[in-house]
Amino acid sequence: MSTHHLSYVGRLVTPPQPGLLSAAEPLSMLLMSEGDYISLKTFENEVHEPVHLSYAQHYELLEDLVQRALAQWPGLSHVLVRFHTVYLRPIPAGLMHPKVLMVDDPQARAAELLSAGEREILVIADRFRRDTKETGDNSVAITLHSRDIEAADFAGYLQGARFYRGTADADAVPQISQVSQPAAQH
Amino acid sequence: MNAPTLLDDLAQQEFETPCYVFDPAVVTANYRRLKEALGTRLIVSIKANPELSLLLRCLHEFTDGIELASVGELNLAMGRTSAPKFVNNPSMDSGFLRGAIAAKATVIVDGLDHAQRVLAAKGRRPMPPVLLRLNAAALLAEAGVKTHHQDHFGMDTATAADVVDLLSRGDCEVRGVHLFGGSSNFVARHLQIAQAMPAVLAKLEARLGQPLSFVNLGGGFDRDWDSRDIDFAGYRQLLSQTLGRYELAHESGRAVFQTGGWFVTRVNSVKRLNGTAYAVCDGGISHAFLLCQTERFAKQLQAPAIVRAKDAEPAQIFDGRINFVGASCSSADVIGALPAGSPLPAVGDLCAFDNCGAYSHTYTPTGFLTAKAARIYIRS
Repeated sequence: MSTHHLSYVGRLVTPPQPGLLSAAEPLSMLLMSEGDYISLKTFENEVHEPVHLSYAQHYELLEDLVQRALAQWPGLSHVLVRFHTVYLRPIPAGLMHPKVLMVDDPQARAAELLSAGEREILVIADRFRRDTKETGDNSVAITLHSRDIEAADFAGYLQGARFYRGTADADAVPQISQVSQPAAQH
Repeated sequence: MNAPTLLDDLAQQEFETPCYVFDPAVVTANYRRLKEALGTRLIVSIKANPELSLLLRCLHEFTDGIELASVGELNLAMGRTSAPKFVNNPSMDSGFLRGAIAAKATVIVDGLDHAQRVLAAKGRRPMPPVLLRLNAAALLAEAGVKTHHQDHFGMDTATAADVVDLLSRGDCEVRGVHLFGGSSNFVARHLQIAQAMPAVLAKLEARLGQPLSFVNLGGGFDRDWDSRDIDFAGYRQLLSQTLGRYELAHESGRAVFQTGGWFVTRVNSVKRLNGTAYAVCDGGISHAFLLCQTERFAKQLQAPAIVRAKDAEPAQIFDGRINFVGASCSSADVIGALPAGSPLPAVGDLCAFDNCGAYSHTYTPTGFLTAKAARIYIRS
């Protein structure tokens, strides 16, 4: 049986939940010395991509994607989520599921798992910007590796996801690219 | 269908009160409109609203520069924006100055003593060229314009020229000048300042022996600047004629932030006394000091928008005045009012006061009764 690789790439252009009131987050830093200022100056970037999410909202979007995937496709063996710098708040329970792996490079990990014979893997790799210290471009790449999940099913999953309302494609069907290849022989 | 309003959002969501709600979309739209009207750089005074969760959603627009009036504000900005940083406070201590120099911020020099402190903090290190802060009343007086408004900020031209000498001896470059004509004074002063500025710049450049390059003309914009019948086209033309060879900037806090914030409090009890109804709220003078207007001779209390509690019965019309009072034991703790003939609030109703986005939550003494601070929410 062949494996589908269904891929979606999108980008947040507005807050995905307009009108939502989110609590301000304590983000300030205690700077102690001139060296602190010199160091932080080097972090300053020219990225003018807006911040649309707080840290809490970012976790909520990821949790939504993960929980909906696990409910919709119980046959998934892994959900790989790109790991971001942590913030001083608990990682939500929905991201602590045994099938969820938070890794720095989820695509690379997915390739390793596919090579090892795994076939049902969802990869969520976002670069949503939560603080202007970060250089994220508000993009998200979501790839589903599966033997039998169809593109229409994947599109429905994306359209129902909370983040999707903040993308440029919010009023359209997600553009999905599909590659099919025979399963590797083991 | 119209977009949901803030009041719709308040009615439908759970949140704690008292609180402030800040809307980044309103703030960034305000910034863009004012910048376009002025036709110059527009520097944002962070002191008007230093809430970082709000700023993070606005910094992508504030690329012309930010003005920082405390070491706390400098710390908020570090690592988060490459926009030019201007530090401006006559009482900057050596810690603030050394941090600002390390951060490559532009220091705005307020006087001779201040210039000496800047040089002491600088030592032998290089630092970005500084700006000289000019006193608006002094500048206008030198041009023969009398003004009623006086403040203690900045220098007259003679002192500024002495500061130029001092800084030059200390190997500290001077880039230009900064001036602030007073809060809400843009309408009254902008033409006078634009006309008076070239003569002062010429004197300073003569003392410096080289041209200056940067002029911050200040701000003083009201929140409703765009309904004040200002001839911006004429102003832009005047600036082009008189100061066209300089890099020009204005500065604003109130006009950028004020309409982007609301103070929201909940009615805890309602009573009637001597013909007046009182809605006793969970937030008041300890959360939104300016609503009480204690600094005004003639109070004109703001009318809140009321969001009825979900289970509230239809409101009765009350034939007397309705005062909204806070949770403290101060008789000055009156934050709003509705005229006779208004619907009487009920317990659980929300009261939303608009135009609380600038100098509101920070310009409030919070120690009284050790009241809990107002929560802050960002509206997506």
